[in-house]
Amino acid sequence: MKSNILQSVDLTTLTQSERCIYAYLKEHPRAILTSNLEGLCREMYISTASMVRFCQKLGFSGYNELKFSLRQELEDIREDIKEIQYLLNWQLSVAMDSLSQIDLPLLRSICDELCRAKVCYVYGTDSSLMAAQYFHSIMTALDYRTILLQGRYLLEAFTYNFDETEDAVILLFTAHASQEYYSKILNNLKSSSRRVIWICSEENHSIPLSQEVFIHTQETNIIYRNIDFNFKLSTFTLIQVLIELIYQRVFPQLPPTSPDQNTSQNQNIQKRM
Amino acid sequence: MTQFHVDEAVMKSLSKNELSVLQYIYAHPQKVCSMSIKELSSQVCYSPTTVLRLCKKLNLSGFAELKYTLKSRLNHPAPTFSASKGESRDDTEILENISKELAATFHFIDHEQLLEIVTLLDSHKPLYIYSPSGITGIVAEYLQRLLFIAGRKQVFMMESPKLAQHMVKELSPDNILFLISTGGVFPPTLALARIAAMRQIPVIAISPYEVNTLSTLAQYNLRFFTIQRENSGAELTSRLPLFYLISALIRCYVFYKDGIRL
Repeated sequence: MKSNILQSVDLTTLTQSERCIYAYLKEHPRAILTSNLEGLCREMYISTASMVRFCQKLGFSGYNELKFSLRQELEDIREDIKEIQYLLNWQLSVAMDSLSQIDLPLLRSICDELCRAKVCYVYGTDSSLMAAQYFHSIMTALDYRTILLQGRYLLEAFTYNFDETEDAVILLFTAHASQEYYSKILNNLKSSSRRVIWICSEENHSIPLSQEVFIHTQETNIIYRNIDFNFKLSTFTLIQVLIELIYQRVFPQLPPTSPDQNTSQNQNIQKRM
Repeated sequence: MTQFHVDEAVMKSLSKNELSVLQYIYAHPQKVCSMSIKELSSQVCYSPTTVLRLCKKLNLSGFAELKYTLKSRLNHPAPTFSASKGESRDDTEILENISKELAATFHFIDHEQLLEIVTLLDSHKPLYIYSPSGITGIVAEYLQRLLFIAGRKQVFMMESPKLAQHMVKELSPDNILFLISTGGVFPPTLALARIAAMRQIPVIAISPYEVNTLSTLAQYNLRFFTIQRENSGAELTSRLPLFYLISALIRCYVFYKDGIRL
């Protein structure tokens, strides 16, 4: 199995210990995919600082970015997957990576916005619709006034007919950051006092943002016969963390989900409104 | 990675108390390694006999072997999230708790059951998914969508409980019923499982690890860990482990379809 990322490394720029890392990763490119930074460094008997320096020399911001790019590159190479445990470990590592890339201070500020606003509009379409529905359903169960905008036409109609004084937050869940469509939507919303939070599976390269918060969820694309599965797992993970933050805020007297508790124990919590 | 032997039969044999002890052990392996059986039992508020019974059911000779197994597993610890600038301890606990739920769900997956389910999905039998209204309905829709993308033909969604009962009553054993429940005790879902059992229709169920009626009625089970939560009757249990579990199932199915025998 060959990795283009590792193939393109200029060995002359690497120190002795970085060459050891390079040699190890060339031999075991999948090792990085199912290990965290500490675990992999322990395996290689190197410091985490050396590993981070190595990642930066390759042009990545850090370990997680190298891992994400390698995973994406190796996704279609499946010849060495022979054990079900390997596949499950892979899936679990996607979950752990999604959690480690969460920007908690940012989510906390979004949580503040959501708790302050009188109403929250949640938009989603196609594969993002389920993420929007999930957030909408749990927020409704938590007694938040949440309205689901299902599909593009509804979102567009909504942006042309909104009440500018309404104290609201708009949460957009999308798979793409398409210039022609979303720049119009954001433009329509510009004059309102509403805060727009845009959670997108791909990076935004072209739409200029002003007050909006943009989160790129860095989904691992898994293509099968030219169709992206769009599992949306990083988006669901982000939503769950946001829900837990809100849950903690609304019911501070009760702990968030804890594995110490019996799974069968129902937590009857008091109503917010 | 060393694991406890927790297949579906073992899981079904665990009492609620034993399952609570298992969950504690899973969440705090490091702590348990340095505990005596008495300390563990006082920590989890169950008797040492319960702990020993659990060890036996896990095919371990006793508490000492359990600790030994745990120690070997600690070479691959679950990640911990350290608080950085602007994050409070409570926030990082949220990440840790979510990661523990997901890790526990994945580590206890019964490989044999998973493969049997994948083989069943790979057949040409029509597949009926029951979508109860509410949050679990979103999970059912997620499953159906991914099955379509994976190229599974004849996947039917049943949304109303009455219509679903009517449809299942008409099905022959050459069909498959797929049921999802976060508690494993939702009456409309159980009613369908009972009709299917009477008509000898194979049932695949996704339900929690705790003992539940749905798992006893279904022939094929996938299980997950989550904490049941509600707000004065409005249920808001996390479905995140379900989304991950279903995506793992679909990935196995796609490999199987492509002739890769796991």
